[in-house]
Amino acid sequence: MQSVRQSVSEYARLGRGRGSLLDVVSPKGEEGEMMPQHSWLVAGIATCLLVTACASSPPKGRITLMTQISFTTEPYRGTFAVTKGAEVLGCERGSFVDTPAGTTIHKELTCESGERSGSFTAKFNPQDAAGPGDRNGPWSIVEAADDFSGLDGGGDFWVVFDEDGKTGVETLRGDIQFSSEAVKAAPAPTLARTPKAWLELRLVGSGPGPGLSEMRDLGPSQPVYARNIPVITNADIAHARATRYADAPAVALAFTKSGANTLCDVTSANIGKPMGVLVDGKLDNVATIRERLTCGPPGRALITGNFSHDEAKRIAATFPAEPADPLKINSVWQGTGRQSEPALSYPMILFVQQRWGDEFEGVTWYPTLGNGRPGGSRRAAW
Amino acid sequence: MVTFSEDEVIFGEAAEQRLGILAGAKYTAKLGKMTLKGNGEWMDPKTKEVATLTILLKLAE
Repeated sequence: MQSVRQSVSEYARLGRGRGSLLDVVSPKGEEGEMMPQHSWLVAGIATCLLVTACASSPPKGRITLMTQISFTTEPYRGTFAVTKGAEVLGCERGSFVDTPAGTTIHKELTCESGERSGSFTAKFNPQDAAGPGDRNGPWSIVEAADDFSGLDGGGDFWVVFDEDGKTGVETLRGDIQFSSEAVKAAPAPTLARTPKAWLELRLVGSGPGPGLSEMRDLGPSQPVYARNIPVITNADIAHARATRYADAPAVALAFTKSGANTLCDVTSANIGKPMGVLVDGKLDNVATIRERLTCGPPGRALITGNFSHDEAKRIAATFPAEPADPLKINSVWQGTGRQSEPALSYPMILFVQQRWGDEFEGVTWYPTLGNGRPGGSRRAAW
Repeated sequence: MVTFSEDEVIFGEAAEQRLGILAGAKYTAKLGKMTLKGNGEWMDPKTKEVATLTILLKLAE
């Protein structure tokens, strides 16, 4: 019988608790504090599905949309995420391209994830007027096609440039509505659809500065200065599942190859520094980077925060679930082992005793070999 | 894909008259829904000769 210890990869953790990669240093309120907002949202959708008249009303409401824009090559391009009102717009995220038009800019946004597909164009009038960003101004819908036909609306926006001025983050806030005609062409609503979450990890500065945005989601007297460019977004997450850690709700994340490599680089260069966890554009907690995340796939992290278990399940449901893991504690594996020289085949049994993330420890048993029985020949000197 | 090594021999003693198991085999195996299938190697610490190994295990419970 032999002892087996397997190490596939480290299971680094983001979040609070002993041995975690990140320790939460600015917890916000009690567990479940964010629940009322999301309960209201879910309840609102449920009510809408139950009321017949609701289905025929043109969607309208308030949205918040955030973009990541690169200014290195023209035309400027980037990606966007709808952090509020995705169910109204029928889109969660996509890409865009900017076209200058005199003193204004036309931004054509193409939805790549959501109930609706197609594009719509918004006109921006950036000004140096006072506001939360480096540039601020109004925006309005000027053209809409495909599933977005009949879309109208507008509001205000601001853009914050990163330190080097090569990238920036725009925030669009406003009200939109679809025309009655658009409702006829709208895709059928998906019943019991859970609103997806938008998850981001951002480095946090020690004070105000270029490339940083002040966030007061943890409390009005507790400003946090988060980098405008996130380290990790939904696009970097391959799988997720809701779980618990240190008796707190948590979400276990598995990153894509590029996401794991990015997080590896960032964590190795920023050990001891804070990183913010944002859910739906709001800062949920700030934690300290304890150690470098293992480079390459399967990069993993466990995030805990100020969310309830239901909220953890909602975040996890945004991403595909990992395939079922059969390497469970107390599982028994049986079969055959073979060796080349001398050629030999023998029964082999593996018993899994312990499991920590992607590590396991167990024993293998070769019932017909070893144990001092003469004639049993495996890996003996020959 | 998983990799693992047999680090320690609990039973068995390798000797000319009392053959047994030696530790040190290293495996790379593909983990399926119900199977663990892969290859491994074991190097004789004295002669440095390498034996190639294969395993095919099924989940029993």
